[in-house]
Amino acid sequence: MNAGATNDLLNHLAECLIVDRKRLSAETAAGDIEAWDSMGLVEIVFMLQREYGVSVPPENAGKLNSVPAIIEVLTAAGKLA
Amino acid sequence: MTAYIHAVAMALPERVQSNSELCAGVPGWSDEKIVAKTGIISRRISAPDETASDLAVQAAEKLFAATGMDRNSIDALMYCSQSPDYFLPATSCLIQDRLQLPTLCAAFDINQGCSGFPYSLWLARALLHSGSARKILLLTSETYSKYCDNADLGTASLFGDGGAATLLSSDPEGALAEVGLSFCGTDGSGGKHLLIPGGCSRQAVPSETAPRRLIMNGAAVASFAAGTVKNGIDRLLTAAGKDWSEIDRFLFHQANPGFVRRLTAALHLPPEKVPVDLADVGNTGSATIPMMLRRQLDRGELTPGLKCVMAGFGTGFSWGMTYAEWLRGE
Repeated sequence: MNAGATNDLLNHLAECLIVDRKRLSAETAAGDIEAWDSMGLVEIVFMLQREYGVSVPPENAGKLNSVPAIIEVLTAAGKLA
Repeated sequence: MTAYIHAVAMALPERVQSNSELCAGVPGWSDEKIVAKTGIISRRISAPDETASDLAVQAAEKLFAATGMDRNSIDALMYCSQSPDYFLPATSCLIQDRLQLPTLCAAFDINQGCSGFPYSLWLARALLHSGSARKILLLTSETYSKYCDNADLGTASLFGDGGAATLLSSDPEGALAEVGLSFCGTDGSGGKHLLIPGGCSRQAVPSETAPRRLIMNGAAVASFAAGTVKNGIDRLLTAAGKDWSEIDRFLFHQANPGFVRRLTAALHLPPEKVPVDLADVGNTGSATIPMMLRRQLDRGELTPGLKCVMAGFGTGFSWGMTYAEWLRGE
């Protein structure tokens, strides 16, 4: 995943979780960010649909618990190749 | 012969529960956090001895008073709720007696949650279209607050109590709206994501791992909604010969204002076409769409010619989408 695409993703995450962009990096995990809780996951699910057109299967929604995990989902969907 | 909406009424419990009251003493929660996450500013909470059927009966009596209709003309009563008075008999049977509807009136319960209103319209239209019924009283009512644990504010902050009554008829004379096609769908593999695991037949005695309270995986529900609503409306509009751009109003189940706004953005719909309501009521399951209709009627926002899609989605997973055209205001 190129730096520009990663930066875009982190900007989207910062916006939907309402956190300072500087607190997010390509390695950030949910446990690092208080707002990345169950309600934060809802925000991320809708953000992925809105910004990338990616529908996450309900079974996998709980796995969106880190930036690497989200990158993996987007890569698998061909959105970050 | 088709189906028409003739009247809509709603009823709410008296008690208003503010966010501050709800989150008092719960670490990490505040009024501001609930508003930012959900858009809900307060919710209505039923009294300990007040049931969903009580609210449904109140809404029905309001409807009768507003229309002056002869209740003996009702030949089917549909009660959509997941908060029954008893395991048996069907709550609709008890409501038939409380409302003094004729004994020749069919009465049955529909156990659906947030998909319940479009689901019920689908069924009502089929009954009216076939001539099996001519006038149907549809009651949608919930007291989900009784299933919520106030220690779990991620869930308890979302739900409120309330009921609605909708009168449907095959007679177009004086109708408010014509009910068109509906499509319903089911994915029971998602049942575990919005579930009360204890207290019913599968586990009669609740336990710590299977409590008698609502357990929700919000992210899974959001995933389901984001994918299903688009596909469901696509299917409905294709069958109805309409395009998304022809729809004036998308009346979504009001899970909570934040959820509706995010869903609207995810579907790239113009916000002005997607009303957001019930910030002062909370999620009342199958009652949210008719409550929203009632309030829009009160504000004069339902005007002749308006093309609407109603979409309900939630526990099951279950969903329903209905196309309707508005004929007149009140």
